[in-house]
Amino acid sequence: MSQVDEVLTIWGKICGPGLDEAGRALSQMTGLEFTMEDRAVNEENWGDVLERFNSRDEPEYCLVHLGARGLVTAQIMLIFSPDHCRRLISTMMGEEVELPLDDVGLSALAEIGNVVGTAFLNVFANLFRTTFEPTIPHVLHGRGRQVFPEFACTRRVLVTEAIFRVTGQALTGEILIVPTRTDQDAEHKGGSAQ
Amino acid sequence: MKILIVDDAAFMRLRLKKLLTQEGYEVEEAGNGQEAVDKYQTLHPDCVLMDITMPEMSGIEALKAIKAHDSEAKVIMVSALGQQAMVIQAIEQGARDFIVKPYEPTRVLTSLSKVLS
Repeated sequence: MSQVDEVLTIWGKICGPGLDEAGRALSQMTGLEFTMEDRAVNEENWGDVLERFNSRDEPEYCLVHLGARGLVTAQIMLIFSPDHCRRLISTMMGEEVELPLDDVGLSALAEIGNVVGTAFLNVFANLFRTTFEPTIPHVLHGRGRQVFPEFACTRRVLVTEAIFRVTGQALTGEILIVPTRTDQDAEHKGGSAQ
Repeated sequence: MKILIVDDAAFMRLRLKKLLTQEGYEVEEAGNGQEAVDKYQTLHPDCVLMDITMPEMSGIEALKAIKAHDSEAKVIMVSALGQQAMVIQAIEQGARDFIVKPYEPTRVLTSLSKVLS
């Protein structure tokens, strides 16, 4: 088993603490009490993952995407419905905001991705005594699968996912973390960059 | 006291600026590492609050450039990258403190007070 395969095996087993840390970071960043629900780590075709998001009743998403480089590369995505995104940013800004978000609102959303994604990575970096360097997060808005990064859809990927929900409110989002080997690095091919 | 806030996220600059101006600090802003280096040389701030992950020039590179220009520069790293190896690297390059995002406002004020005293 190669070093990368070993890392990915361990990754699949210890995502819990990483998601816990991501949830704590999200709560502290927004001032809202989030809980992480429906956690799962599965190996599946990326194309099947995209189809799940594509086939929902209202498949319109605001997505924050950042990559990370280290022992393995990883793609981290925070996914919101447009309305939940607007409400989350309104809470952070302390005033009602409208879509499309202005530059400050977009930077707030990108920073949520940065802080939450990096909190997850910090757990793995400290465990492996190494560093994972995140890329600059970018925000995309679009329908269905077009907003997601494209891996080779037939490749099987390890997908870590969870729903984060504000306690007592109908405000949710989702986090997807996909560790990949360097030959599986994702590219964005669709969606409208904001 | 003049503080230079360096972060590519406008929201984070806004949030920090509000906190620091309420505490009586004079605040300047830069949106990336290169702008931070340029502004440090012209504005001579008493302290720099520096993000790490930024476009054009990272916070670590900007820290090195500022310390090369002024070895006594007081730079506090403010980053989501709370990874032990990254913290050690920043301290080795001359950062006076390291604050991990997300942070409590008092953490920033305490660090500034300590570094500026």
